Amino acid sequence: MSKSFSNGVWSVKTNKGTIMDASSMAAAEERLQIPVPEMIFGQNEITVTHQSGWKLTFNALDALDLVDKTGNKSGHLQVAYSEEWRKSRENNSHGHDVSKIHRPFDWTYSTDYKGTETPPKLVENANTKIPFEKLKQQKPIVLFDEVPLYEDELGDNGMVTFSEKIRVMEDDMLILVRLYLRVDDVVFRIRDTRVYIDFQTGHVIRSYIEKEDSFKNVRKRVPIGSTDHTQLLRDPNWIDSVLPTTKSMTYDCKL
Amino acid sequence: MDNLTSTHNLDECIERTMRRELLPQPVLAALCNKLKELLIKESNVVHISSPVTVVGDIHGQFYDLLEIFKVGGNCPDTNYLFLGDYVDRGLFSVETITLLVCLKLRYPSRIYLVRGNHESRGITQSYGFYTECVRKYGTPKVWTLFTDVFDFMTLSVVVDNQIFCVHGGLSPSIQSIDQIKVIDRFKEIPHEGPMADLVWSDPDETRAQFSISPRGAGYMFGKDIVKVFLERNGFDHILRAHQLCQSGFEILFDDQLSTVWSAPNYCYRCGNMASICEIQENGERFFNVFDASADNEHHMQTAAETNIVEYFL
Repeated sequence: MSKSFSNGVWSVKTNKGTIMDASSMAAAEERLQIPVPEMIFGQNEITVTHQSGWKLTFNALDALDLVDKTGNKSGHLQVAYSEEWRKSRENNSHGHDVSKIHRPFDWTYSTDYKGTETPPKLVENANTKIPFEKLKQQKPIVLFDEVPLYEDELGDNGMVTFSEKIRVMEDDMLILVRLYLRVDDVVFRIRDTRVYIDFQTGHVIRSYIEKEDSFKNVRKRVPIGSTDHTQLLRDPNWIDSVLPTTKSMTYDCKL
Repeated sequence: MDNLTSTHNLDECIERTMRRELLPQPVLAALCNKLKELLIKESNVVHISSPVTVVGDIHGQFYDLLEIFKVGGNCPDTNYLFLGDYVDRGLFSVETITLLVCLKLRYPSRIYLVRGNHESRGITQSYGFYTECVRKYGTPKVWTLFTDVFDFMTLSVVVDNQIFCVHGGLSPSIQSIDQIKVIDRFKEIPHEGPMADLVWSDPDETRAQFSISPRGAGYMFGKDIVKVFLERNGFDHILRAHQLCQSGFEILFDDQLSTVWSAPNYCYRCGNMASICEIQENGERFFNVFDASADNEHHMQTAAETNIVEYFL
């Protein structure tokens, strides 16, 4: 399934298909050199093209290529009961050598991918920002799509999803690419890349925000008297509203 | 209580659940209590004979469960072995587990229910079943009833003394099935130990032996481990579920192990196929592949689906 929009200067295309089959996943592992998430939407992407040839695209494999492949940079995060699990195993391995992790990597698939840009034009600019007031005026949307890129259930220890949304209006457009991570009883993490394009001025603004907090701290923010606290803890929008920002960057360019 | 679980009433319960009616809470309580009495008699390793059709994860995809009975035949005309993960993630976990509970009570030797890692109090509070019970019944009582039943489900089934069937996989603590038989299974699934491994572990094509998951808990087992386990126990195959397969099934380790996956278009967006594994009387395995039931879309007009355009910021 694909959708497209063009106004002569800018064109937008979205593409959606099924998850990768076993042979495509094997090829992806070969390229990325890490075990890949169980759901990769390999054909899915959003691409924005300017008539000058500038192109910005978001796809799963480029995003996964930026995942920490050794686990060293991401601090070897472990599931909540890992310590307990290991201790009980130390004297109970039945002759199997299972003392260490064979191939550590960032199994949360926390990418800091901000899109694939050719040729690179966007430069960091702390003085620019996305005009949210303008975006709050609900002008008619000519193209909307929601495109998942990858997901993993973390062996039922939480979830990670990496997906994008786009809305194109007559005068401007917005893309939101979100990494959402929950490791049960450990951590919540959100990484948002937004791309705003003003079609009148050719101004392209990209923002990147990291938000993170411990599971324990987030649980404290669940309102007292909530009948089902598990529901709020599974609602990414609520989580987004209570997580503190830990990093923020903006970029822009004019086309 | 007993009249609620009579054959006549069970037939009515099955019929109503097939129409996706929710059974009243007192009826569910009677059914769950009766089922515990039945399941407590099952061994941790149940021996059955072919022909039997083996079903993998369903995850509350009720319309796809009905599709399975269309593709594979109705119970009890076809014998069924379900490998767990009945609840969570899908929209109809309550209906799915209700139907399976009724069928097991009605035809106890025609259908077997193995426990998966989602048949657990802890997991179902994080992945949807708890919330669904509260939403559909207005109280967590129904969730308590079902999760109490989960504690009684068997851990493994052996078909024709040849095929070892389990939800997840092998454990370094288990060399022979006698070590499964002695597990005290009537409890919440622990975080570690052989009972946890049986419902959690995954095969690993890159390593021949056991290895620890990069997540810091849980095992992966390789080809040599499978070979030794099969030889020691006189089996020729391991049939398990637990992992999503885009084509509905996957065969590994020179056909010594296969994964069966029975939730098509998983989470209503993956676009994957599903399958059921039909074990015939001559021991042959046939993966009957099927696609998502068309009824899903018809019954799935959720708020998110109808509100196609969103003014996100």
